[in-house]
Amino acid sequence: MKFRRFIYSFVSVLIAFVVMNAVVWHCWTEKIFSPAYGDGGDLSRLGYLPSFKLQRKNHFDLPRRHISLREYSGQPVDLLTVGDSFSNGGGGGKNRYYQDYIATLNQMTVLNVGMFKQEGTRPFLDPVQTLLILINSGEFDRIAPKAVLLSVSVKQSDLLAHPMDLSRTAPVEKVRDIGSYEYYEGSPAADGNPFSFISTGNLQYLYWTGLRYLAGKTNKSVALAPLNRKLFTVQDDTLLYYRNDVKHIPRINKEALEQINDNLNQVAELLAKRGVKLYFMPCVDKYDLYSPYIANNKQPKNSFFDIFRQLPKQYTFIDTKEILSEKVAQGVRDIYYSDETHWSWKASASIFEKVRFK
Amino acid sequence: MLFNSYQFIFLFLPVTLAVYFLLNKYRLTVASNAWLLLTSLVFYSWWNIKYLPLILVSILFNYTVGYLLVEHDSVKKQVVSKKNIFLFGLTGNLAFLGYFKYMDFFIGNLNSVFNADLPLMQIILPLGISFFTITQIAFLVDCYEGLVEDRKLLSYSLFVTFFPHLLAGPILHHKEMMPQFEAVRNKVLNYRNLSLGLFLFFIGLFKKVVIADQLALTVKTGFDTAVELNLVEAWLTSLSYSLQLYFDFSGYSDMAVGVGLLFNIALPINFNSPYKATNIIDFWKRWHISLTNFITTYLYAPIMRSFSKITFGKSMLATFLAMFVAGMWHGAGWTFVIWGALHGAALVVNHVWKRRKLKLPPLLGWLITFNFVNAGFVFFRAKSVEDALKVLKGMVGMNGVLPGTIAEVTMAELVHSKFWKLLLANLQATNVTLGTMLAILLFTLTVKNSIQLKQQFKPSWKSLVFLALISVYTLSNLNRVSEFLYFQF
Repeated sequence: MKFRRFIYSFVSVLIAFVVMNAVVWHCWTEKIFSPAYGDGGDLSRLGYLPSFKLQRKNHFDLPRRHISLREYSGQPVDLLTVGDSFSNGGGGGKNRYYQDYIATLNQMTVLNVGMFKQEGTRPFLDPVQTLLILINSGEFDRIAPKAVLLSVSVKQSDLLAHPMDLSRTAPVEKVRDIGSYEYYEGSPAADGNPFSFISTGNLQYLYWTGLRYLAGKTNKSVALAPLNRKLFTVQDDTLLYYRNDVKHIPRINKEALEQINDNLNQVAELLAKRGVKLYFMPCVDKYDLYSPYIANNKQPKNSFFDIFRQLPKQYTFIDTKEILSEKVAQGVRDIYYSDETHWSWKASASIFEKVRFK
Repeated sequence: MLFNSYQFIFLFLPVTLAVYFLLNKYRLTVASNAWLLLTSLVFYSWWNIKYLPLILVSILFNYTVGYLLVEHDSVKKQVVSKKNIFLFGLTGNLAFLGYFKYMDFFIGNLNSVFNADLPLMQIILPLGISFFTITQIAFLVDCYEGLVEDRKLLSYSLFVTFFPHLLAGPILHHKEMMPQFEAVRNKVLNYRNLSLGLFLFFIGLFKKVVIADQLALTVKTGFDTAVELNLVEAWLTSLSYSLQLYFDFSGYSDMAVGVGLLFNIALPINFNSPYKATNIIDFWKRWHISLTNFITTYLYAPIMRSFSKITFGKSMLATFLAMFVAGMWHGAGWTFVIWGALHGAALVVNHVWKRRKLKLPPLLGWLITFNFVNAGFVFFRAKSVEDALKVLKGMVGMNGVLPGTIAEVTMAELVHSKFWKLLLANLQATNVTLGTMLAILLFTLTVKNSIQLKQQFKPSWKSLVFLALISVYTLSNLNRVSEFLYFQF
């Protein structure tokens, strides 16, 4: 091969690559990757499924908003919330923080802490350890809330299923620097990196779309299931869910849940000494909520709530599955968005219209 | 503008290249050089146009001083001595660099020593200032010593601003460059150079985007966020940075040499597998080669010349001082002072060792050299001496050996192999696994470097497929644009 031919061939490859990316982006992937098409939609993005995308923009129309730890300037706090992405506006769209419903419906000041990262290079702590660091560092007493709401998605609940070090702490001056769970808090990461029309996402889209049509396979992060009712506004009779919703089910057993409950009871005791009331809200998984409506469902049943309801508690348990199942049974659409692993504002409103803080 | 951006790859570079060769095709050589100068200034201004006058003033100042130095001998009535003109030029450049780069460091130290409260000036370091200033200091030295012949303002300006090297080197010598801008044979589109240039450019882009940027998060977390690091985390942090710096900077240099070749301009190589070095003298012959050459010619040699009698001891003093200044050149902070002094001292030890004809097995020599360089780079990266000590303490196991959750694992769990699951989970959680790290290190130590690959390059279907694959993969992964580490120096 001559150098001239080499150059023409290589430039042709580059041009073909750019054109291919432009076409795929314009026709399909822009919908799931570009912020211009709205917020949220983690499952449609993970699964390269633009047809599931429900267009929505983050916005708030409630009269009272919660405050985040970064905005906190020492005002009295009624309720402190600690939790994972569900507690940090994960679903996107209208009133994405459930804390705003609590603040509005109960006329309370709600402070959301998010979830701290662990020291060193390790990842996020769980909500209970975050709370323990706040308590043991003295930060909690400075804030002095009247109540605490701990929340975790059920699929991540095994984070809490081990004996906890109740004396766990971090230097007070470092608490705010540890790096709270800011992914959904409007940090640059929250908006995602600016996607260009050229990205690996285009190749992935072609790959997974091809596999879906040829072999009926979806991306390993997500799964599809036909529903026998119309429960969404987009792709109304198909459930798109996170595979981990099912994968973690074998880890749910009485022993693990008793350990979680035991940890929470100990935390409740610790808070009671300060006159603070504890609420615990496990967030029902999307698969678990909609599984009664899956046609010919062969996947295992999630028994988290069935077991957990029976355990003796020194705290208030918020049964999200019971409240939301009632709504789904009534045929309310989009309790979870079709394209999301997090619930929608409808779920937040339903839960906190029922659960009031005194 | 960044090499690793779509604007550069798909717009700036093709347009600049096409217009340059089109003008040359019609024998408009002055216009083609002017075009290259204009596009280089656009490339520089893309970052912040506010700093464009700064580089223009620097060029005009140095060109004028250089002109006066060259013309000095032919002037009959000499009002100012040649030495004074040179000192004026040198002082001007040092003051320029000192103001923008070292003023806040100076004020900070004054505040510490005298317990004063002078406000910092918060000066933003103009991009590439260290590089274009020392390039021009070298030009003045050569003018003073009568080594400069070409005195055209356009060639000179192009030599300083030529966009492939402007922001982070390689550090150029006017004698190598200015004739290349004038040579007629370089004005014709050369498919061989185009092929080699694109080959090098995409290898460099791959190093930057696929390897260096993947390590960035681990580095940032370990150095900037972590309160303390255990042994495993500290080594992952320091090794990540050493590899990130190498792939980032050598990737940039490959891209710069590659882009230069597209214009038929040969830029000097900057890296030659430095982590394969078996002693520290060897390391500096392989790492940032254009800087080593500059230090030798314009720092070490003048210091040596200033001694009335040259002895081994004095040459070692000159070596140490040259590296000390080189450390300071990299940044305004005590961490850079320490880094420069450490390397100066290591070079002295290595020379003494060599003089006594003591020998080490190559593997042991490599182990000592690599670990020294790796530990030294902790100071190079850390934002403060405290941060550097935090990482170094972790590296010697002062904060425990393994992540806490692993340390708590019982013997029973160890037997049931939970330990390994936890270890893997913890290492994965550090964003870069030990396996990835070892793979990158092994890759660095065994695979041919880009210069060797370039020398072996032949146009064939095999090389076309290789280039197409790495370029398509890298371009697909480019959607997170990040700056090059050496821009900050």
